[in-house]
Amino acid sequence: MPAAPHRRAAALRWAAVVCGTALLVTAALTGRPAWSAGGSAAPDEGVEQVLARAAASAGVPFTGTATSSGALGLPDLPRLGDVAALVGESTRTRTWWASEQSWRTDVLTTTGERGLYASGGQLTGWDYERDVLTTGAPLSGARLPRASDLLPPALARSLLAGATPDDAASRATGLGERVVAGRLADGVRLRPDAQEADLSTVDHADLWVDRATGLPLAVDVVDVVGGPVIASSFDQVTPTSPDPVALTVPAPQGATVRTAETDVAAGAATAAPWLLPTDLAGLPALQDPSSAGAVAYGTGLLRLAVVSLPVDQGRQALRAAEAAGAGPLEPPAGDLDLQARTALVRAGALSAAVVVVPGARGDGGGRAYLVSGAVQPELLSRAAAELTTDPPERRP
Amino acid sequence: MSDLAVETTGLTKRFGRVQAVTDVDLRVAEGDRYGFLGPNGSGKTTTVRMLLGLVLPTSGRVRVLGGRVPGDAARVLPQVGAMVEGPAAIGHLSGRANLRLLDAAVPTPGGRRTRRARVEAALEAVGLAQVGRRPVRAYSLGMRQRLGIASALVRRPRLLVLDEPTNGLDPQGIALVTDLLLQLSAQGTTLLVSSHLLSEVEHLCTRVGVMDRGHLVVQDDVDALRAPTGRLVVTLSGAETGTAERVLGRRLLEPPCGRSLVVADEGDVVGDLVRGGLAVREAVVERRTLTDVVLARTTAVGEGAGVAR
Amino acid sequence: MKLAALTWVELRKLALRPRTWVSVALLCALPVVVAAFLATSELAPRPGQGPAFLSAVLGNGQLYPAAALGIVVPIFLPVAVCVVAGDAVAGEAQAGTLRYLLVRPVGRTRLLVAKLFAVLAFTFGAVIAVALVSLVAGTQLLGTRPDALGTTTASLSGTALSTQELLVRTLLVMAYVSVSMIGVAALALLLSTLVDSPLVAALGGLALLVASTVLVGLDAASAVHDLLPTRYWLAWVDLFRDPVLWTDVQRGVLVQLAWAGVLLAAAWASFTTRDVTS
Repeated sequence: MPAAPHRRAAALRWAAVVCGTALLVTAALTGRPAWSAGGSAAPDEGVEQVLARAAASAGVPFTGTATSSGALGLPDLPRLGDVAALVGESTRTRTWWASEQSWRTDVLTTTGERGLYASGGQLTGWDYERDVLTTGAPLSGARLPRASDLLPPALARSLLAGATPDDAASRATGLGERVVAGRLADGVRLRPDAQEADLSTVDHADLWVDRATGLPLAVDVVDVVGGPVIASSFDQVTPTSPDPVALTVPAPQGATVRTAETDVAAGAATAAPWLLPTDLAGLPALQDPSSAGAVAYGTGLLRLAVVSLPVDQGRQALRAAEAAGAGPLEPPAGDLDLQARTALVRAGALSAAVVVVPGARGDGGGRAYLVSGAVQPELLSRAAAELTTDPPERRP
Repeated sequence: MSDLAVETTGLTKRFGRVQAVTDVDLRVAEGDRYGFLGPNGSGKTTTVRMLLGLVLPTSGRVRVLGGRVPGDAARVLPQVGAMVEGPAAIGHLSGRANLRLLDAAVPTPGGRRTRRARVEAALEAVGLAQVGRRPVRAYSLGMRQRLGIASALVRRPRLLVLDEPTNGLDPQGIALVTDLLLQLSAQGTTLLVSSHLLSEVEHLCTRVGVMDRGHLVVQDDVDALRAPTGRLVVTLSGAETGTAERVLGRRLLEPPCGRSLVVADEGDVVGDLVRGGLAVREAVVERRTLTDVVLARTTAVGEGAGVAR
Repeated sequence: MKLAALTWVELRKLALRPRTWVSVALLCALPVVVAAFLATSELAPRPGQGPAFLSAVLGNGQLYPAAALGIVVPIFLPVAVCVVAGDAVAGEAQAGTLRYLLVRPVGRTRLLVAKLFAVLAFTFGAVIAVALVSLVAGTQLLGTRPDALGTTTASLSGTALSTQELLVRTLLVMAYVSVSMIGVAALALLLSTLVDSPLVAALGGLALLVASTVLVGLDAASAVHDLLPTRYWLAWVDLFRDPVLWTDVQRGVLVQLAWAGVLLAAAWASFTTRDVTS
């Protein structure tokens, strides 16, 4: 018996619904197609040019939102600001970037917003939920990482800072092209060289650089066991000059206005009386040690951050770390005993050590350092040994 | 081009593995008072639901008032008033508000202006005009039943499909509804009344269809079904049964019982009795009852199902 | 024309139903209670905890409608919407009135659309009621912060918002919150056409809400996060940033429309082809 007409209609209706759903889900899962990607300037650019453009991207203006996430669980030390959250959790930011001197980055939360405004050589912070405006922080100089450092362009530039473009290119391989935030990007994979590879916990870092403007759109740093160290990418970006109105520092009525709280690194720069060396564990300093109490050392992908701490703060941190179960650093092979109390904290790819050198020489107390990086503890031991044994100069 | 108000051809419905209705060819002519009979679970309600487009047939066709259902439902169903499986209304509203909302749900040209009048007329017809603002929640079963019938009447339908219309009504209510239906029929409305109360259908209907286990086992005019059995039941004024036996001879089919005689309807039975000197009080032609017909044509009654007499 | 008449009938049914008003009253009561506690204790939630805006509304009741919507969005509003949407068809089926509507005859597609409109009207009506009640509660209990410049409050970015801007943004939040409910409402409506129990249909809508909330909080499910109906529910906060961050709001609207499209299409296919045996 043939099916009644309404049965055929029913089958057709269901078929239409299923097909429509399938189409919709496919469209949603494949995301925006590549044809919406902007730019097609130089399809066959070499890795070297891509890296050179990425390194020089500080002047490329843009407006966009980005998400960064880190897998570095830092111990919650006092006065570390929101560093632990930045490198250990997922952070969503919205940025208007006119130039290195004039930009704004908002950390977006579901209940508020924490804005950073760079303008006139100063940094102003706005915290909606605390209703606090923090003014007067210097734009440059020693400081802890902040949200704007984890933007893909800033992260990419800091990864490239340890090497000349030629040098970096020699250790880089092309990854082809991909669409990031609706734009066509060229991928480059950076690896530590053979010497660094023994000391670093980083396996590689992938940069995705906008073909049209050279703006790094995504950065993925992956550790030797394949886990993420830190990842940052734009969700949405427009490489045009931002609306100046958005860059205006707000003057909220009734808000508490404070001057910048000195975070650990900036405080250390003024409070710590000792200069840091220009070379440490065979790595060159990436900043001028005479102007800062916190210096990053490194080549290629190897990074070691050293903060010179006031000694009592160092002792506090040491006790906190020991209370959390941290043991001392192993002395470096073939070296003398470490003439210092140390505590090593490891979290995923990150290693950090607190080093306190007792004030044995009667010159007004000891010294204390926080040494950290995505490195093997062996490198920390070497750095600690050098810091302990080489008597530093006093700050002028 | 059909003068059939309802016509189904090979109507069949399966719910999963259950065969509810099999190959039913229903014919209801315009102007009929059609009684749709059958025990509970015989497929009556499913058939009625298919007539109204609520249940979609597995196979077969339905034509109602010359249009196909469900294909032409939007055209033909406005001319159909229906009550299926008991009345239903929004409990916290009055009967009047219910009818107005239901009527407003499908606008007809000019329907809005006459809505109040039509609703009042329908309520009046079932004797609910005086109930006022009482919510349906507070109605008795009989009142709800009347409201259900009223809601079928609001559109002044050409075809009225009523499922157990007198269910829950008191004797006055039954009389009122029966009168109402006869009156509507006289005005030309076709009635399709499903019921398991045979006496009610016998009294009301001109034609019956009997369902049994999903099949339409009987469909005929009531008069044809109720043909005389060829027997006469005679009641005498006195108890002279001996004389009667002598006069009637072998025409007497059963031994006399009191003053009552069962006689074969041959020749002039009453004349013969009178000529024999007997006073005849009553002589009635015996007819089959609908109950006999239905019981004869339906299969043995299973548990829970049955036909009330 | 026919649809308009039917929609009007459905709206009247909704309005004549006491339960509708009870649920709206309960929705409005919660923000009032919260405002009363805030006003008496003056203790706002700590940063990063509790609903958005609650610290900012102390002494500034004009921001309270948005905050109040933020309070009812995660649970109370979707529950109310699911109950209404789940009742839409299943409630009629359970009461037996569905068959009388359909033999009138009300076209099944049209009935479904009219029911959807009624659910949307309920949602938006409830949102408006919450906004109005919380505006009164906010300004009366929490006070206002007037000043010489005519600006009353700060956006999340610290810039001043005039009363007019505040009004526009609050209206946008109301619209967005209403749209955010479409996904769960559509599921409850779909289930309402499939089962004859309004309770089951409403619980089905809530099950989607809970499942979506759980998955949004689960990193392992990040591949499907952007498709989940509750993923962008909190994006209404973005409407109070300066400049407004439209990305998530737009995505949220798209996600809701996609869910609604799929679920309502399924509801249509099921309802127009199924046997009504209630």
